[in-house]
Amino acid sequence: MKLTAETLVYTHPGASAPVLNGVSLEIAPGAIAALLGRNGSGKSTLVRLLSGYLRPDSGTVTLDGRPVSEWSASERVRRLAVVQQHVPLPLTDYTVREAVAMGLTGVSRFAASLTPEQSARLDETLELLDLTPFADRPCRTLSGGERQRVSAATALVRSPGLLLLDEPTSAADPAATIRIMGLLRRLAPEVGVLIATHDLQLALEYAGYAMLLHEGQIFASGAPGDVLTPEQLAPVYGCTFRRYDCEHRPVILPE
Amino acid sequence: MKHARIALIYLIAAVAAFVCGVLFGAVGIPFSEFVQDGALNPIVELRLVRTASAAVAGASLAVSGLVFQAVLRNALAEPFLLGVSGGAGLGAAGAILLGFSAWGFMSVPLFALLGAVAANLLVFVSVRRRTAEELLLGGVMIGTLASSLLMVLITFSHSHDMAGVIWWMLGSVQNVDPARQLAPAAVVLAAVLVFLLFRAGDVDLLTFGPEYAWNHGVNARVMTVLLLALASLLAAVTVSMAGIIGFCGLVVPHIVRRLHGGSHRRILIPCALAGAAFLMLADVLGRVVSPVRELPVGMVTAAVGCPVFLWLLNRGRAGS
Repeated sequence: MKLTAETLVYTHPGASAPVLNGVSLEIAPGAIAALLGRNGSGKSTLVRLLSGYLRPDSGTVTLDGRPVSEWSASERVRRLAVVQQHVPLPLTDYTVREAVAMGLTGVSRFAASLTPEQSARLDETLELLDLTPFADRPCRTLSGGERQRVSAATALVRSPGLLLLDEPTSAADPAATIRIMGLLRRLAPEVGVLIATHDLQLALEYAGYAMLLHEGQIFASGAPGDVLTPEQLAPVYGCTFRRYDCEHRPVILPE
Repeated sequence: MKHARIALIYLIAAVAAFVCGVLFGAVGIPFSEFVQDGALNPIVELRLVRTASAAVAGASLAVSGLVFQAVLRNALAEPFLLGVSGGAGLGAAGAILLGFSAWGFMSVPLFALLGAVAANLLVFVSVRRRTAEELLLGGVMIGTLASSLLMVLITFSHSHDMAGVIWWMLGSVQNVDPARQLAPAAVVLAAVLVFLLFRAGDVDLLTFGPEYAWNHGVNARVMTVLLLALASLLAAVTVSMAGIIGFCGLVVPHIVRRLHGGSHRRILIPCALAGAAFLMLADVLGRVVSPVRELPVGMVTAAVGCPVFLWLLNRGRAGS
């Protein structure tokens, strides 16, 4: 399964200049791809374009060679799952189990209840993301980090072929971050994974491929160790960085 | 099974409210006099129609409110948000004040329906992006414009015409034509309920916002417009049948959601039955409290619904 974007151009309504101007990339199983860039660089917009939620001014997004807009909604979500950065709180008090089950019933909405296989898959996903103790709690009572895990579980429960995650660990504590990223790393050989993140260390640690988004274009891409260097990061973030080696692992910090 | 039990409790409440609606009123009629000389007692017949009308109107308003609140993700959303009440009021007042009511009994409801649908269409046409938020703002604007035009009409009307307009605007199920008003309203309600039962999952997902719904396989833009149009249609048909009945569409879905939470597939039927029971009981109350000159049902819904709602609101907060 493969998601390909070619020369995407997108301008926000009312803006005079495009936020993305000729972005091309490919997401496929193999390793986690990390998308980095400063605030407002267009990372979330790019995720929305890749998911088909936004339509580009020009350029194409194809899922397995077919434009993403041409897939039926149910076929699309079976293949491609997206975890948003911020999920608004719903008006209704859904429990965690009900919210995660929507990842399954969203695909087959007419089923009033889950099949035994779907229920087993739901329990397994809750366990994977350490959500079993919260399963019957209303989503509204969860912390930001817990809600992020619910959001990730809702995407993972239907075993998609491609996963796009926008800041999936921004509110997670270190233990939850390790759990989520470890899970994504285990999935990556068979599932195409793209994470948009601000966390340089997270990208260095877990990603197999990194892309730096700057001034509407992919400024640099390649192995994280080659892309996330002080020389490449300085013009993107507008500050200087220093790289350290800590027990043979690279650490990069702003100065 | 739990879901079925909840629905059954609401069904029993609605049936009990229907029985009350037929039994109680200005005149008490014992069961033995329900049928006289092989024909249904005329008073019982009238009560059957008005109670059934209250049931359909209440269910329609409650379901309409449920959809509005879910799609707009706003607990204060109600069925008349997209200009339905202003448009219907303008249509009905136009029919009364410009003399079209002389064309026949159906002219006022028909003009009200036309006004509501026209206001609704104007909202959908005048808002370019048609997101939930923009439709909401467009609805408020068109509704306000229609209400202002209604005030202009009232200002230049005769006092006896004005009384007719105001009575209609207060809402009543007293003079509903069973064949030409009640039956079509029931058909619209049934059709919308069936559609919603099949697409309840979409409504659930839309409560998390359009992007979340899109990411889970819902065409959020199309479903938002479709659901709001259907909810407005329910409100428009109801308003043409029974005038503007406030509060039912705001309070009932809110209370049902608060009590049972969760999936819209689970709360849809209880919400419809609760709306039906609420309006049937409000109608009975209006008849019993003031037998000589009945209280308009819209006044009763506000008088009863407001304190109950505030009590539930505060009780929920204290417990949370």
